Amino acid sequence: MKTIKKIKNTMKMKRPADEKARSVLSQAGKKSVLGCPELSMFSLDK
Amino acid sequence: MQWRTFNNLCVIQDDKGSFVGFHPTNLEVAQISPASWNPTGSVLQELNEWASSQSNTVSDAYTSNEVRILSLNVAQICNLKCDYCAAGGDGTYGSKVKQIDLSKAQKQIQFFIENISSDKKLDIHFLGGEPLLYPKVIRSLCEYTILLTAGTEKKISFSTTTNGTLFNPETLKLLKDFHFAVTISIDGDSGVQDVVRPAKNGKSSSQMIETGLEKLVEIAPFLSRIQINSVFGSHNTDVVSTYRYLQTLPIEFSELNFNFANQDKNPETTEFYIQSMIHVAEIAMEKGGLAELSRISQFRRPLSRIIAETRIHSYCGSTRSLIQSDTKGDLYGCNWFMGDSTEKIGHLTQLEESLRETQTLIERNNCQSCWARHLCGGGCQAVNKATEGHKFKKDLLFCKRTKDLAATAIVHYAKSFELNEYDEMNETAKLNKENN
Repeated sequence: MKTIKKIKNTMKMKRPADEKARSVLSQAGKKSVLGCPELSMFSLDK
Repeated sequence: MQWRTFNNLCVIQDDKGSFVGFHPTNLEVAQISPASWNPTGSVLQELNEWASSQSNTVSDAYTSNEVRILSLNVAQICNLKCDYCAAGGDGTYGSKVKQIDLSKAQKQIQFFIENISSDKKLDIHFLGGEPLLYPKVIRSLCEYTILLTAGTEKKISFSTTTNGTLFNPETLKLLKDFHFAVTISIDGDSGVQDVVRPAKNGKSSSQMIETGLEKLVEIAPFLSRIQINSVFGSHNTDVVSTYRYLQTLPIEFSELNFNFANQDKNPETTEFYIQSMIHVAEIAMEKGGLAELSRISQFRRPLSRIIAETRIHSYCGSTRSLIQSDTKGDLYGCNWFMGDSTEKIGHLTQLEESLRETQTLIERNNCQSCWARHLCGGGCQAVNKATEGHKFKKDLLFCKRTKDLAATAIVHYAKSFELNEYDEMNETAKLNKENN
């Protein structure tokens, strides 16, 4: 077995629903930290 | 599950014998061979090459110095009396001023709207105590905000954190009219909730919440989101039961934030919480894969950074993008600092610039060598203060929780891909290329 198999953003996920989740998380993750997780503000539309 | 660091990389081994690698600065995840656990020879060489590589697709997200969230403590009083309440034990934060002053709050809103860039959004968060004790005040402030921003490019959103016991025609209309994002604090089913979050009059809070949620369902399409905030710690470590209970409620919540109590310093409780969260992750993956796992905030945060290939440098926007005002108009970087004069950073519209943070929290908390630093962002100042006495003194149990849960998310992420199919496709493509 090869030691390292890197996961790429172009790779296919096992579940179709996960592809959708990946798209949503990608947008969320690009945002800077604006608020506070304690207040649950660290979320999609901020 | 266990993990170890090796030359800047994190190597994770789960209980089912899978090995996953994580590159802390490239934010890359890889399936790795079992030999990576104690690497020698060519395995060692390959890992070293990966560790020293630099991604050209990763980017950075820095916290804004422009205030994007103004959190107003509408009420410093509560109708519940939670066992673990960190707000002075009764929602007051030790203050005698129970209700926000409308005219002072209007001035604050005006100031922070004027100071936000024309195309940016200001979120006004209504917090307590229990904010929905004063719906008329919140409505007045929302109407005032809309009036101020009418005809401008400035965007506004409203959010609130509530204990969920006061959903009635007046509060529901308020939340609907202004398209609120609503966070509801629920710790579990009646067996847990009524013990740790009872009403002040001793009545069941779970019954009030369940009745209210049936009404909230009707306006759910008008809300920007509905999410859950649950607190675990020595008072309750059964995350699995809470996760299962939340599935039985009539709303599919957009996010489940399974927090650990700020002030809890018990290592055994931390370990039990971590194991429960790992179990919850397995149930979530079984139920709905990564999509379901990423509904849980503690897994969503690291996953979103990895998928977006974006490094964070601060855990939160305290004193910078996030400002908290108490009922007197005193300003703080965090709601948990209210009433602590050493953490006050201004009053009404006067922000003391010299008291606002300038460094990233990774720098401030000396997290530069932690493998999870760009998934975590340097830790929570409120937790540090509650457990260690200083907001920049790291709580190592917080670090353990964060790293173990990030590692859990990484392992499940790695398993969500058709790795074998990918390998075969690549090998075939490579062979074809060589043959041609």
